[in-house]
Amino acid sequence: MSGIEIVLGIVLGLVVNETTELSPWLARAFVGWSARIQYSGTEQAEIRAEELKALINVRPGKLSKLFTGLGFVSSAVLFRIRRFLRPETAATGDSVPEMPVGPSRSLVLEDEPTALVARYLFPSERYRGEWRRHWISLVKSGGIVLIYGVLGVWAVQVRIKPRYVDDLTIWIVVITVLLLLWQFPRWYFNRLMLTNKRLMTTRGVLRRRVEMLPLIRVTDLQYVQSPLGRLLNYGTFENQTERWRKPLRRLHDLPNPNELYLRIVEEMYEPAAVEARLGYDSGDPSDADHDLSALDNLFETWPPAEHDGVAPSAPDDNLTSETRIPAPRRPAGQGSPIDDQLVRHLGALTENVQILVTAVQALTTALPSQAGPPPTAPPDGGGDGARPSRRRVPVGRRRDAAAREAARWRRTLRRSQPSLRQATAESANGAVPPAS
Amino acid sequence: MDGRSYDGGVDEPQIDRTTLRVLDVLLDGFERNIDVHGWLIMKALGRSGPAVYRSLDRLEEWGWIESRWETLAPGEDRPRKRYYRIVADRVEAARSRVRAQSRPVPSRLRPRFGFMSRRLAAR
Repeated sequence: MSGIEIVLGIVLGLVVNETTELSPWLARAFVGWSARIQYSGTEQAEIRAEELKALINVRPGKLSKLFTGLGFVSSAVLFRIRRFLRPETAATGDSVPEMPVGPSRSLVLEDEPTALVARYLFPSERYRGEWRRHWISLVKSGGIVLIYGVLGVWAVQVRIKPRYVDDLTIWIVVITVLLLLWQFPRWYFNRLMLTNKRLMTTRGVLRRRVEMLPLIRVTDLQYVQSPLGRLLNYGTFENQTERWRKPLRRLHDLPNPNELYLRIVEEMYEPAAVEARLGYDSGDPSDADHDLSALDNLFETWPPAEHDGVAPSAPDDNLTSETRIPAPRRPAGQGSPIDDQLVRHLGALTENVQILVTAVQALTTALPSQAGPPPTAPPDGGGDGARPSRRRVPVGRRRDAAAREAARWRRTLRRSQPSLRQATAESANGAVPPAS
Repeated sequence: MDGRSYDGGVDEPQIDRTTLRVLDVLLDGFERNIDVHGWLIMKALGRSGPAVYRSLDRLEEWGWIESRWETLAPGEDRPRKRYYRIVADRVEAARSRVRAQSRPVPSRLRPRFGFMSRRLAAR
């Protein structure tokens, strides 16, 4: 061991020692700075600055103090940037929005989706988790950029005329560094998301790409782990399909592949088990469910009554239990007064609409006999250029049927008078319609 | 938030998970009469400082918690800690919120070394 190595060892030791001694001091400076950045101009700034310095003192470890300080600073800087970009949210002093962006409020079961992905969820969708790629993905893409950079520099040295070499080398190095830095946001914004309906990926920083795959179309899902993947615990998911280009056919470098695999598979086969484990059914209904329960009650009591054998026109044909927005079942009596009132009013409204429909049916059948062309006119409307009418004048049995229909309509109307009257009285104008 | 104080009603604030857990720690401190400061909460939650302080800011804005300085012994000169305590007439509301909204927290997926994971899990 030569003399210079011994000296170097001692100097390095001293440097390391100084660094660790320095780091608490640095950390305190950092947190003071972060408090002043984040709460600038308020009295909170001084309070937080002192408090956070005390926190750094209490926090064990020396380098970890430094990291904590750095964490506070980066958070404060991010807060400032966010305020600069979106003044309306930061004006309230709230760096993270209360609710995830977009309409998907409080239907989430697990952790909240981050604001980055929340905007891609529709309201009744249940969020199950989101994942970034494993860090190996960052290493791989960075490595490729680096390899190309090195190759470029080498090619320039070997092949280009000497007077251009310096400039070109600098350019290649600058571009390589920029591309390397670019890999980080690219990796950061690349998310895989699982909901109770679909598998989604969102990619890109400036150019955004959102892909999804409904869970029902996830067929033959498999994951592959290379030896390095086994070691570092990442894997590539493959969704086998006949179609050549299909979204999410291959998902590279996902962390903890087995756990992720089980989660996706469970979501596909046992969604009820997932919900039970997340405590969805046992807990109190959340606010959003409460909002929807009025709607749900309405659908349950949809056909309000039978009207003289007239089948109610059923708008809930395609609202089967699958497509309906799930909401906790509640006996009708327990709804809030507003819900009940709403349901009653809507019930009355439907009755009236049904009466109208019956009336229109009866009228269309009965009208030609009174206002149509005379029975002697030819059925095709003659030669005066009018559109050829295919409706025939009711005669014989058809006329009888029309008359019966009209009578039935009148009967219906008379029978439902009380409810009509009640509904009108409830809508508070008090005018009772004249009996027909 | 606009600095209103909320009193358990329909328009109660939407509480995110971190805030809820902070509230849980503060409730615990209230029950056992412990002075809770920032680092204790960070340690209990295993969350980063900024996340915890964001929640504390929010709770303070809602008027759910109050804070006071640590009293130093005479002659002592160092930055003081700040202790947080849940406001007495918010205790019941907070308790019901924590009880209503706490769900079993599924473990978050993080990249881990494959060959170490079993040993780490055993620990």
